[in-house]
Amino acid sequence: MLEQQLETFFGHTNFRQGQKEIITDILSGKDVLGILPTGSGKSICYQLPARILEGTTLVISPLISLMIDQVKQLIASGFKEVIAINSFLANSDRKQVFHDLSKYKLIYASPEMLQNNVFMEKLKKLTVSLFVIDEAHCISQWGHEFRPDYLKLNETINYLNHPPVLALSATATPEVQEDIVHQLDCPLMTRHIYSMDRDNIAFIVERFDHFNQKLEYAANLLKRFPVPTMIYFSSRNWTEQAVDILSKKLPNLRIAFYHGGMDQTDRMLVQQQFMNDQLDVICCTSAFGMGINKTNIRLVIHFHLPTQMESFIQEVGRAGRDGESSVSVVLVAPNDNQLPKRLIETELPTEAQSKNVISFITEHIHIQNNFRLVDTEMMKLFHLSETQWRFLKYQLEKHGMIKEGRILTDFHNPHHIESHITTLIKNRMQYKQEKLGALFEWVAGESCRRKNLFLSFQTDVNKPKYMCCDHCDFTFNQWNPTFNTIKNENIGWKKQLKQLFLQGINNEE
Amino acid sequence: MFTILLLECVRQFKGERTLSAIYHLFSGKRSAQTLQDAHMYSLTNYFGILKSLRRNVFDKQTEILRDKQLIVVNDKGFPFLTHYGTEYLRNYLNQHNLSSFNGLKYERMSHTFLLRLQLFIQTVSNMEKGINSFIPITDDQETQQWVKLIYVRNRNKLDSWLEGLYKELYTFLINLSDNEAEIFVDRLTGYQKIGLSKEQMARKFNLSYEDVELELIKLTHQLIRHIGEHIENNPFLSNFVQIETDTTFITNSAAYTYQLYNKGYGIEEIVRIRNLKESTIQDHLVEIAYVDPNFNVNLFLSKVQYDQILKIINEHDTKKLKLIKQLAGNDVDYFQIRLVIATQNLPSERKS
Repeated sequence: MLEQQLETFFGHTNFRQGQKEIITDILSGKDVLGILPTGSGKSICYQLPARILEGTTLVISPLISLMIDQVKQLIASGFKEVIAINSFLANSDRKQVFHDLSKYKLIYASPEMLQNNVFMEKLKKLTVSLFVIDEAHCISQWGHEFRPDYLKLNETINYLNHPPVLALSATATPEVQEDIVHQLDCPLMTRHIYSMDRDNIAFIVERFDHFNQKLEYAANLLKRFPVPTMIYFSSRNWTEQAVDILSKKLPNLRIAFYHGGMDQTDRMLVQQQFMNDQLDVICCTSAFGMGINKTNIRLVIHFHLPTQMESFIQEVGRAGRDGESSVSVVLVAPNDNQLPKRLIETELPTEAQSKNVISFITEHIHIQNNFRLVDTEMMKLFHLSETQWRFLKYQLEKHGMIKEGRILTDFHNPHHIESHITTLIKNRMQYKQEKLGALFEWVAGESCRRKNLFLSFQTDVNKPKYMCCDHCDFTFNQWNPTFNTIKNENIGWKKQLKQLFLQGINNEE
Repeated sequence: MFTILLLECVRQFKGERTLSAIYHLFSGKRSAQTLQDAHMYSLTNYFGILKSLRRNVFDKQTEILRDKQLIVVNDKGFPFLTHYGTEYLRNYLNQHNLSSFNGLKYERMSHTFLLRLQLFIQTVSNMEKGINSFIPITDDQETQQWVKLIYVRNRNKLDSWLEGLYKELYTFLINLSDNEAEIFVDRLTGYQKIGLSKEQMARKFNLSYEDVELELIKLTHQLIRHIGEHIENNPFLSNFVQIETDTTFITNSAAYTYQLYNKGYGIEEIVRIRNLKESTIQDHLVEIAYVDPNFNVNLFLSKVQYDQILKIINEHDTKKLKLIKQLAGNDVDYFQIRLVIATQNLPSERKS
């Protein structure tokens, strides 16, 4: 029965691990916590119920680009009653969408939309039959991408009369899992926890004396294995430079970069080319990959490492979604941890910044009436990034200094609040540095990489389908990845034009 | 091409406008000042040809021109070509078909035209192969609606559309250089062929990002003009061109003034009706004088005054209002001078 619906709506004949169990529980009205590895088709767990259930399925997702991608893909596949509501939606469009809200079966919304009263009132008038929290680890302070707005989710769930809740994540330690259940206030949640390691991915680490040698190595590897590859960098600049260098060394491969600074159309084109096997290698920042459903990526190379294991696992998880043998290669050089270290420092406000913001609020306490703290203005005024301001704002709200952008008058000693926040910043900074440390410890580790990587998430790991890691059994000599032979020939515009317009017609003749 | 365009604008502006004027010209700022500048210095072809140009990119580029000593900027901020710059421009100008740009006329429609054409090609080429799920190359709702409409209407004759479009595009492209044709075709998306990004083309053709954008816009302008000139040979392509009326070439505010003017109201009356300053209404009238061949300047100055101003302009080869005013004396005012400048070129332009 369910299988039939899966085929009708998505064209798959079989469920993947965990999907059916989770969907069955949802349809019987239970609250569910689902931990499934990256790339295992988590979204089917709510997309199928959204098509089956009466009423509306609401999905809270913090990744705007991901939700936009998913909506596009769903519409392209014929599921049209889908919408993404977020800050990118133009005001005029938003009005229209709110007006027609009942016509959508599946609504994606960013968490800050839940603070929008108009939206919430509209939602309350609908029957929300499933409330989904994607990337549920964001709810936990100990999760790797803590989002303060996620802490208000339990209020929203209650406001909507507690529809069945589905919390999904690909990277949640047992500690974070507990926290999700606790914060959502759903003690009866049914848990479907699957091991996060994918048995077809092998892990290897290569060390170099100097970072200059990394690209040389990558080029040689790609010469030997011209397979669909992603190379991760931590800066936009690096992705562009790498394309320059690699293209010269590998004239037969089609290589492009992808980062958040490119214009909308170009980003979409590069993404589509990669999906369409028109590109072999993509040099990208972490902005790439979310919502990418390319199944035949064989190599994920980390030129730079992210700031914790969770991100690393997620990025590696883009490899080999078709179950074929794939490899994660980490390239490390001395002082590689300095860059992520500095990155972490920019994720939180400095002591001085929080002090200044608090003084500012104390000074403006009596300018009542129409005075509001506007996000963009505050960020400019105190040189805060979006993450930094989000953090501070949440803390100030928590300590009763501000509410909905207005300064409250009855808060307690601001010096107390200040020292409280400063301590918190210090603790979180230390916590983040420890997480970074753990990732680099893993890099330095001398025993099985698979076990070490997943140890903090689960008690055991899968038996590798192919090879395991460079400490156990991996050698490139025995790696025979499947891939299509790549042709990088310039056929000229005349032939291209003809193929584009006339191939359909000619084939029928 | 970007460099040459910048140098060409510096040359045409004769040190009488700042670099900002060039920026506003390229980005297509619809202000009376920018539109008048475009007309006054015969730069209308370049109006709005780089709409997405960011100010910092522009500033960086002009900085490079200065470093290379192709231009100098005087203490008032007005740029001039150096001797080397003049030479450089003379040597390279002919390599770039700058006359193919038709900014003022096409800047609004060219974007819509290209999006429609590209989305339609993507749609039909996929549908022919039985693929009905693909990610559209544009999110623009109007374009999507338009393409859908055309598609539904012609569902039964897609073959002839494909063949027709192919032939018409081929005829257009075969008359371009191979590089130009390749740029145009590389950008197209269809069944199992995703178009190249601008960054990718920049690398492939060894151009700057801005040059790729300029090439694409130039080709689009060329194509629109080509279709217009051979309407009968382009029954398929002509569906994608939207006809615009002349009034869209002026600011909305000027268009309203124009309506009142056409109804026979004088300046004082228009000032009162619109509750605007007299100088603003004068700005509008100058703007109109540039585009309306039937605009009658004799209502605002005598034949003697007109000839006197025209003579000064020609003898001193200048369009500097202050200088002309000094030479002409108190008999004429600035408004009259601007009207003469606006209309002096019209007879020859009208022919083209």
